Amino acid sequence: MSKLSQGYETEHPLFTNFSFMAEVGERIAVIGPNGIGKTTLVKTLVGELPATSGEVKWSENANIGYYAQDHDHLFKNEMTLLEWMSQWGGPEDDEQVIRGTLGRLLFSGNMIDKKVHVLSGGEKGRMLFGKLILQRPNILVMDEPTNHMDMESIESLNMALEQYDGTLIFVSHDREFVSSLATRIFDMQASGITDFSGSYDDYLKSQGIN
Amino acid sequence: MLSTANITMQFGAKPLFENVSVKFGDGNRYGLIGANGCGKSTFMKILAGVQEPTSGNVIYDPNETYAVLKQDQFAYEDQRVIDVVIMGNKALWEVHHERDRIYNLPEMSEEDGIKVAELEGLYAEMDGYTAESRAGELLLGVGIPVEQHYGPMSEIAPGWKLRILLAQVLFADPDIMLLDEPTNHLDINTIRWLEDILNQRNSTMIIISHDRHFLNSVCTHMADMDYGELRVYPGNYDDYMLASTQARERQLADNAKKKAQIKELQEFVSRFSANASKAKQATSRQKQIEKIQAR
Ligand SMILES: Nc1ncnc2c1ncn2[C@@H]1O[C@H](COP(=O)(O)OP(=O)(O)OP(=O)(O)O)[C@@H](O)[C@H]1O
Ligand SMILES: Nc1ncnc2c1ncn2[C@@H]1O[C@H](COP(=O)(O)OP(=O)(O)OP(=O)(O)O)[C@@H](O)[C@H]1O
Ligand SMILES: [Mg+2]
Ligand SMILES: [Mg+2]
Repeated sequence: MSKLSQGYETEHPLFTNFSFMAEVGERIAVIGPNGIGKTTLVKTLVGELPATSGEVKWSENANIGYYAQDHDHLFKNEMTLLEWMSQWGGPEDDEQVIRGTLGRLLFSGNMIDKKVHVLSGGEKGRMLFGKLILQRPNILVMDEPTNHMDMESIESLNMALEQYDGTLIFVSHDREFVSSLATRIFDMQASGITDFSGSYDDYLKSQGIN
Repeated sequence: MLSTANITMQFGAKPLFENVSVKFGDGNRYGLIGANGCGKSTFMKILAGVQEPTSGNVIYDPNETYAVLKQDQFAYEDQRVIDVVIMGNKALWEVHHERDRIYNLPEMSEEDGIKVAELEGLYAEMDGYTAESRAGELLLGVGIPVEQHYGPMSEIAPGWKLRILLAQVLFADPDIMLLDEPTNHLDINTIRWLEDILNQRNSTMIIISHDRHFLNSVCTHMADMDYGELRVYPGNYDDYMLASTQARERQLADNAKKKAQIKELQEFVSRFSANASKAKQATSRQKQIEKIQAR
């Protein structure tokens, strides 16, 4: 990514000339206070927002999976869980695969004939993880994936991501989650973005915080 | 005091929860916890009166006021930020609204004049004239700059809408607060700020959360929804974990004891059931085994 700039009002850009290179297998945590521009940055990276200047370039074979912070609109319809999940399977994914994916996420029996709009907050999150599993991305961009999740789900997500061998870019306010996953930190502050290679604990030490 | 009598909620074949009878009050702060999908939000909607339970009822104290922080952060997109906060006090908002309606009439009758004077009196009694400045202060407290107070909600980023909804609840200053996952989307400093605000209030609170640190620093009680039941424990989350781990250990020890008893009896039965003189005793032991297993 080179010299990225982005903002909603030209006179107040959220960030300017931010350049970085992500290596395969890196797990980058984007942290910083509410409203600083984390979502705007990841939306720019996945191509949902065109950068005001600069360039986002992924490798040729990049297959990006994106977990948006605000995803409720995907569930405001009359589809059943089975129908909803089927949307994201490839041509080779038959009903057994879809059912299997739902089962891995603890949706089985009568539950899968329910309408998606009645699902609880955490259940919707789990459905989105299913979407990503079916998409088999080699780059994962996740914006606050632990919101709504119960403690066990956060733990399972944490373990799954630890084993994920693609590149991960994630936004989170959850220190334990960041600390157990991140191999690199983008700390967004009003003064600019700090790009630190290393764990979250090392980052805190480098900042003189313990 | 807010209490429920035998509340059951059923959507499908199996009830979400059954015959829940609990009391919330005394300025306690209850953390409503449980796995995703166990029915916490549904239970809170029933408490707030926006969802009918399958059976049972909620008993309200008519002298107590309530405020709810809903999960839908996009409910007020066209409203001004400051108004969304003031709406927290429903009675005040109604007077405010009615007053404005009359002032905006093309012509005011004598009757309207009397009505509006009454409303002004009521408004003053309710501290209506300081409402905007109080709401403004709360907004500043949650970090919303003055420039945004008179703009619409649609211009506020998602993470910040939640703060305005919090300000709405705080403005109502209710006897009972119902908060559904208030820390979602909040950064760490804002969570600390929220903890302080809640701890300074005397309201009874029921707060759904999956955040252990938050539950520990705010809650005086845990209300655990599990296996279709709601159990209330005194203490914060760590106290609850300790108590429930001990209870589980006791149960496991109990199970182990049961197994040992059964084994002993089984040996007795197999040793003596062949022996005619002991056969009667063996049959009664067999019954004992069945009794232990059924427990
Ligand atoms: N569509 C929009 N139009 C105008 N301003 C916007 C828009 N979306 C976001 N903003 C502003 O851009 C800034 C950054 O928003 P962004 O959502 O990227 O923050 P964030 O770091 O993800 O915050 P949070 O931690 O709350 O999710 C905020 O000040 C917000 O008000
Ligand atoms: N109208 C409905 N029809 C059928 N099932 C429903 C309906 N509303 C909710 N449910 C189901 O009831 C269960 C409880 O939902 P609820 O939103 O109360 O869970 P929750 O405990 O708040 O979960 P979370 O921690 O994920 O927010 C879920 O499995 C949900 O799918
Ligand atoms: Mg964001
Ligand atoms: Mg819920």
